[in-house]
Amino acid sequence: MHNFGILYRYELKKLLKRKLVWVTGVIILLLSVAVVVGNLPMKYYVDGVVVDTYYNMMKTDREYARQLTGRAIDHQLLDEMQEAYRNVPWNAERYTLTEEYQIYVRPYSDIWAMVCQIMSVMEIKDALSQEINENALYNRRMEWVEDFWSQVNLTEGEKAYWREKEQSLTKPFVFGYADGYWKLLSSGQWLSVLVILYAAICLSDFFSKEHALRTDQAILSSRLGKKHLYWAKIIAGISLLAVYYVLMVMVTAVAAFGLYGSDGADVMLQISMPIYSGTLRVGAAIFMMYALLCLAILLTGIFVMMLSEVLHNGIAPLAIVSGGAVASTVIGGSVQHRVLTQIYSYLPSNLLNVRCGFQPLLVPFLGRYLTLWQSAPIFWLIAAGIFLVVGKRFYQRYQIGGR
Amino acid sequence: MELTIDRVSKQYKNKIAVDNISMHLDKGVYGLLGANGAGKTTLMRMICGILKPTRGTITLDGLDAETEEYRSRLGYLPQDFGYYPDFTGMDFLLYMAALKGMTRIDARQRAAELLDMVALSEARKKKIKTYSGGMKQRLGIAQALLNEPELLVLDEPTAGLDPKERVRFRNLIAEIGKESIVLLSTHIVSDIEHIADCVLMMKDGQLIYNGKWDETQGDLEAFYLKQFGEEKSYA
Repeated sequence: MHNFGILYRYELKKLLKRKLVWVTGVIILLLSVAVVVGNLPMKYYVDGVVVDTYYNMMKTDREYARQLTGRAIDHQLLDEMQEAYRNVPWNAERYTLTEEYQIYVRPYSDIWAMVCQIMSVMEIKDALSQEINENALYNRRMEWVEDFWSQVNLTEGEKAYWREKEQSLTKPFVFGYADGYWKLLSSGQWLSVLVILYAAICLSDFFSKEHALRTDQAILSSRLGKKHLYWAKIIAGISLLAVYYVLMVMVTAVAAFGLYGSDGADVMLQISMPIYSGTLRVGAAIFMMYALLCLAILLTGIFVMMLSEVLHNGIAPLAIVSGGAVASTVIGGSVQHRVLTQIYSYLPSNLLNVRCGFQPLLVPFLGRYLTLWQSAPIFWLIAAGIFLVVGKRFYQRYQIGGR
Repeated sequence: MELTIDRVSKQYKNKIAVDNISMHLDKGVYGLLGANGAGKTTLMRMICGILKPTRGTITLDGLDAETEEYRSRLGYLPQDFGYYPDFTGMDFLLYMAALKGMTRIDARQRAAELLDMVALSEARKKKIKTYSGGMKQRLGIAQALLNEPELLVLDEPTAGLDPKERVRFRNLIAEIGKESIVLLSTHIVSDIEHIADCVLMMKDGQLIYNGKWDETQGDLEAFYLKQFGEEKSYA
């Protein structure tokens, strides 16, 4: 069909012949693994002396957490936890190194972390001075959640939607170990920034280079150069990113599940994010995160290629896209400006940030509400379509003059 | 087969690069002469459909220069011919053949023929970045001929060719001109004298001469120099 396959292979060849594509690819894959692995290969020092490795500490915590897996965070578990915490000599200089802490408290550290988030306490002593029972905990959580809904200016309809979701949540929450999934979820934003950087580095001059090399004259005067080649280039660019995405999914999943374990796919998101009101489980959340990461890299690739053609420059798209992605990791949205926050949240590098992506902001769609993660693919596909049309228009209308 | 250029102009802000040119070209070799900035390249780019005229139309047997059908009958060697440094000569021709809509089998056969014709057979598997200027120019000529074009537009085709290659090239063009419309621009008047059936001369965007040139009219180079004052040609 109009030599599309041949043109596609040649366009892919142009990309794969570039050392930059391979070198950047390897570096970014290594960085992705580093993001997931975190500090596990490092040693834990106290006063300059190695106490343990982070990997060993993770294994110990994992073992304790697995022992608690399946238990409801109810009155009985909260009592056990508080009793354990009362055994710790809080006046010791480093109470975390005491035998009492290691034996009695450490097994409950995950539960404790969730309780502290809900009770809004930072100091253990402060928490111990309060009566933490099941009713108080879940009531406090609900107050916190409702406060947050008001802060982010949810409409009554949105609040009703989330209240309904709250009704269907199992309470008390059931604890489960799922650190492999949590690690991937919390790495979402950095993984998205890294794939965006890869797309920007590899494709920023994919179209503009034809003008710089002056091959555009022979191309655009050929029979298939104005129409079919545009699509062959787009599909080649997308293919490169799709293959890279698969590699990234594989290495990050292998790293996370290999080190932390793959158990816990059905654990409630509330265990790590008590403020979340949805019914999504961590396994499904990871599936959605990877699906969004795939769409994010494709959208970015199309956007970069469009900029490359529109600006006839390889540096500007690289600067715009990579600068934007990195900036979004340090600039947060403002809860006071609902619309701006919501638009800002749809940037791929923001949406895959768990704190941003799981905000309760909703979009009404065909008589129902969609969450940010549900509505993003619709907006992204529309945006991709617009970028493709704009890029094609500039490509086909390019005039070679004044050289 | 007829190329019709009808009242074509190209204006850039305050400058008119091509000013209301009209002509009909049939089979044959047309030599386009003119000083730098006369508008030759602009006219050729418009004929190749990569630059839109401000006014006027360009058609080949009624097909507009913007159409895919028009481009399928066109061969073009740009003045500043670009190439992919990491492609081999053969790869480049096969890629261009695909762009011209040729089948894979035809492309391989024709590319091999043309590489032989432009004396690049031995270098066909070498990367273009290792080619000399003359080799690149010959590769450019080969790509323009891939689809056996009915309209062949060559912008400064002999630049970078050594004298022996130029003679070979002239013969090749003369042969192609028997079946196609060949429009070539050059500063080298002797090239035009040897192969062009018709001379076109441009000055300040206008066509100042359009017709055959024979010895009875005198020396073409002297006429050319007269038109362009003190500017020199390089024979």
